[in-house]
Amino acid sequence: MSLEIEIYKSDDGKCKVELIGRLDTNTAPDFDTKIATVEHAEFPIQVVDLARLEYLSSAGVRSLFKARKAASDAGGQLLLVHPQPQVKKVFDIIKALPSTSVFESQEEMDRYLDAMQRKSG
Amino acid sequence: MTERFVLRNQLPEVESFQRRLEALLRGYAFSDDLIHDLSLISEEMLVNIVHYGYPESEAGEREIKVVLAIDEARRICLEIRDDAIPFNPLAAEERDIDDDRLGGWGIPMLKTLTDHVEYARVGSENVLTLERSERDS
Repeated sequence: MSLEIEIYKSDDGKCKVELIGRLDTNTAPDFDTKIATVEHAEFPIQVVDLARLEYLSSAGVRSLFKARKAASDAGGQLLLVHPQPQVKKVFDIIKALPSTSVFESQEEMDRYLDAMQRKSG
Repeated sequence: MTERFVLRNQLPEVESFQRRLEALLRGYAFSDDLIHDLSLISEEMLVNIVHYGYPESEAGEREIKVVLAIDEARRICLEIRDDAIPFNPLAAEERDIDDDRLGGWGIPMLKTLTDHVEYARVGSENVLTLERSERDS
């Protein structure tokens, strides 16, 4: 049981981080290390895709929260998309993340980012 | 059916316990949902004991005992017994997410994912007993 982390960087300042497997006490340190390698200046928008994340424990939530805080401290954003039912259940119980940072679908997140851009532009 | 497990107080033992628990429950054809919830509670509670229950110098030297029982009605009872410092996860304050102590989420996790949960300090042991059955999805 483990976690695979795939990082896709695009030219438009977006970086997608796909998590596959389990984000828990054992694997959270690996996520912390890998997400820290993504430069906030170069990639102000980091999208963590949870579509293939099967299991999330509070240690994993804490790591996501830390990464989100690091992004916002640097003036960027970290968004979560596609939480599966088991993962969504954990977010619901812990209520740790504001609902504005978890998106059910890509479309929902794109609408949010468009609105943000219009607001700032 | 009753199955007993003994874990050393170190993190890899928690993960291997979760694997065994999941395999065992799968063998009894419980739902993925129930297996997920019991595995998650086990991680939360056991990691907390391993991290905070004992002095660092005793890592890997103490035993945590877990008893899993399944009755005729397919009710699952999980008992976690440790001789760590007294800690009642049901009385613990909910903590801020920035707080590194894992126990902060014990209450909402336990309340939401179990049907019944009890804590007792028995002699020198913490005894946490929880029950869970299948739920209609």
